Amino acid sequence: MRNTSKGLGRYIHWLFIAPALILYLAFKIYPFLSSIPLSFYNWSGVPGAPKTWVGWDNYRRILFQPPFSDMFWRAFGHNWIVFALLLLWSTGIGIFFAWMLTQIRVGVNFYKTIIFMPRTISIAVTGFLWSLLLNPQFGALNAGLKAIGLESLAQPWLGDSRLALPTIIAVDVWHGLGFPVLVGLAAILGVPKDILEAAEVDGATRFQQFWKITFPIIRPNIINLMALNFTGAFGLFEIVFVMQGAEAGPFYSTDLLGTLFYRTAFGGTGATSTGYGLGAALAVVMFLIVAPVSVLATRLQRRYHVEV
Amino acid sequence: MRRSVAALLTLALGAGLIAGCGGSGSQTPANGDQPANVTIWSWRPQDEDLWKAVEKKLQDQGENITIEFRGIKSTEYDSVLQTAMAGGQGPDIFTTRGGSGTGKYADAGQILALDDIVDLSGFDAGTLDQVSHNGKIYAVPFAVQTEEFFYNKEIFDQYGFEEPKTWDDLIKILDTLKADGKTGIAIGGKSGYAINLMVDTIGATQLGEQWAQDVIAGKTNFTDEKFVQVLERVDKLSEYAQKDFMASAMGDARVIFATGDAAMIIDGIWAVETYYLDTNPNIKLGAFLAPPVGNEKPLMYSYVDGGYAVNANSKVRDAALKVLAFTATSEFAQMYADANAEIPGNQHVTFPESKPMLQWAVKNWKENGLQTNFRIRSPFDAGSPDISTSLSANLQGMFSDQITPKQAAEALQKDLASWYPAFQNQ
Repeated sequence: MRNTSKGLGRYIHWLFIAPALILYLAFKIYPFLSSIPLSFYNWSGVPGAPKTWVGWDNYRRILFQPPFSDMFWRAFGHNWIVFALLLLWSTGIGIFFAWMLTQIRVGVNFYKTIIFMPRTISIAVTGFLWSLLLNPQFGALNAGLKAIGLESLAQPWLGDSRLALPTIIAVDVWHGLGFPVLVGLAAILGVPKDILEAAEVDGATRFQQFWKITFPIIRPNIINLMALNFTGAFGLFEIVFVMQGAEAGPFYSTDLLGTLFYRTAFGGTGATSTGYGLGAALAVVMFLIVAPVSVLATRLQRRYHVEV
Repeated sequence: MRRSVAALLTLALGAGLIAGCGGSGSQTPANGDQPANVTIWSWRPQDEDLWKAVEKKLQDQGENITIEFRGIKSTEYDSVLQTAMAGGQGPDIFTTRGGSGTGKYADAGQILALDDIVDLSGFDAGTLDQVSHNGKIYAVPFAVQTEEFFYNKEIFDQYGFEEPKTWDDLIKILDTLKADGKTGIAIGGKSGYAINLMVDTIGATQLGEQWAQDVIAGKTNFTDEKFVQVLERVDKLSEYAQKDFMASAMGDARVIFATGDAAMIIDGIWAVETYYLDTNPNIKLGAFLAPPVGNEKPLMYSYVDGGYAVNANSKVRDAALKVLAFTATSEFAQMYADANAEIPGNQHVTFPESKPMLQWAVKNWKENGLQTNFRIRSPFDAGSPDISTSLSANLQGMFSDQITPKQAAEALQKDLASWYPAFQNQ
């Protein structure tokens, strides 16, 4: 039904989006915009403390001048590792599980529930609980491995520089897996049955049906999930902070741009030095990394859209 | 017309939302029968009962004051406080860290100078110095913290060990325990702040007063052979730690020590009551300072933990100052010592027989205290990257054999030299 009214009708959509829009402007856009000027100052963040104009110096320190540049590029590399792991574990396993849920006949709701359940726990609680489970002395995971004779697999999960980051991402994926499964499931269920049945009559295997029919149709959804993986990877902070603290140890092995930002702006291990200016510059750089990818993802999504 | 109604509605809705998100000020002005509510924030959640007792004391003295205490996790405290202060939602009284932690709030005019307002005659000059800025005192120091080796007396007795007089004695003890399949020392390798304590404790004895002064003056630096050797010895101790100690937080290490699964731990005096005795009230504790390698005098690393400061923008300033004045009394110091088994800022307290660790710590602090801090509460705290963050990360790299002690020292020096003035001309 077309809305033909000329007065209120043309603008009423603003009323409907207003609650979200105002919150978004007030708590996302405004703080971000106000951090841009801040990034050109040297300021501790204590109200009343002197603000000194330093021009592009904060950006230079972050990108080119050790020790901050070392920390920045290391954290940047870790964010890419997180992105790769999320693609594989979150989107990959998520789509696989979603497809499996369409293939089984018994217990679909049961599996859906257990996959989605962790998402109802807050990320802080999730991180805390997993820290307990992964504890080398008292934790259930290593104790369980020992009990079934797999002691050799028991690891100092969060204390080993090579394992800490993948372990944390695994916990993060465990927590969030319900979302890609839900998106994947909705997309797969949207694939017209008659096409799949026709393919089956023609002798296509289940894998061929997925690869040749389902996958191309749900590709925009997968691209969407991948874009979310990217922004998720580059915005990741909470789970690392809860499990490893702002120091993102051991030996910076779980340091991401988010934790580096936190340490830079608010200080590290019980530190008394803080740098809001430098932190703001880092936030702007992070935005410049994430924004273009989000735009690109939206375009790709349109390009691969299939009319069915 | 209808359009403007919609716009108005939109605006009203938005305004309502934003207003709903604003903070709810808990401060009530002191007038009439309404008690003045003084909010206090601290990184010491364990002080909750202490503040209830203080509130009662003040009310018994006829003050119409209530105290609302909020303990915040130490590692998150500074950012929470700073954000609240920036938003004008700061507490009336808050703990500031000694040294530059107090200085930065004083510098910004966010806390009141106390010189003529609060009676601070019970404190010695060195203690007050760590809460002073530009010649004025800005906080009432509440505790002096000391760092030391703690040991389980029952385990030492069982093996017939004496307290080690030299570094070699210590290693012999650890070797004996290791050969017997016992954990010699509990280490919380995942907690950066905790492994830093090992450097303080061992460094106090083995680096000494002169070295500490020299490094602050820039006459030497952290790549100095003496400091590298301290890191090597810290690394050596890690060979005797519990299995997978790099994945243990300090809380885990304390439980391992308190329950008798490890013979020793390097920790601060604050851990005795709050952690060890809380976990195992029957543990028999002993303590010693880091033993010397040669003929150095064993010294103790100590620092002013922090002080209570009054928010310059407090709406209940008079009541807050009354609370603060009470924290400067020997009566409060005694309450603090009794509750925490820590050394209070005010000197006029007696330390009970029932708290032998505290007596030991106070005696050593007065007789064998290192006077110049080179790590926590040192000038290396005041810039970014600070010494605590950099040192703890590089120690973790050293423990996991990714870098050598020498490389750890070099990495630390590089971080500090990027901002510490006296290192920049080297």
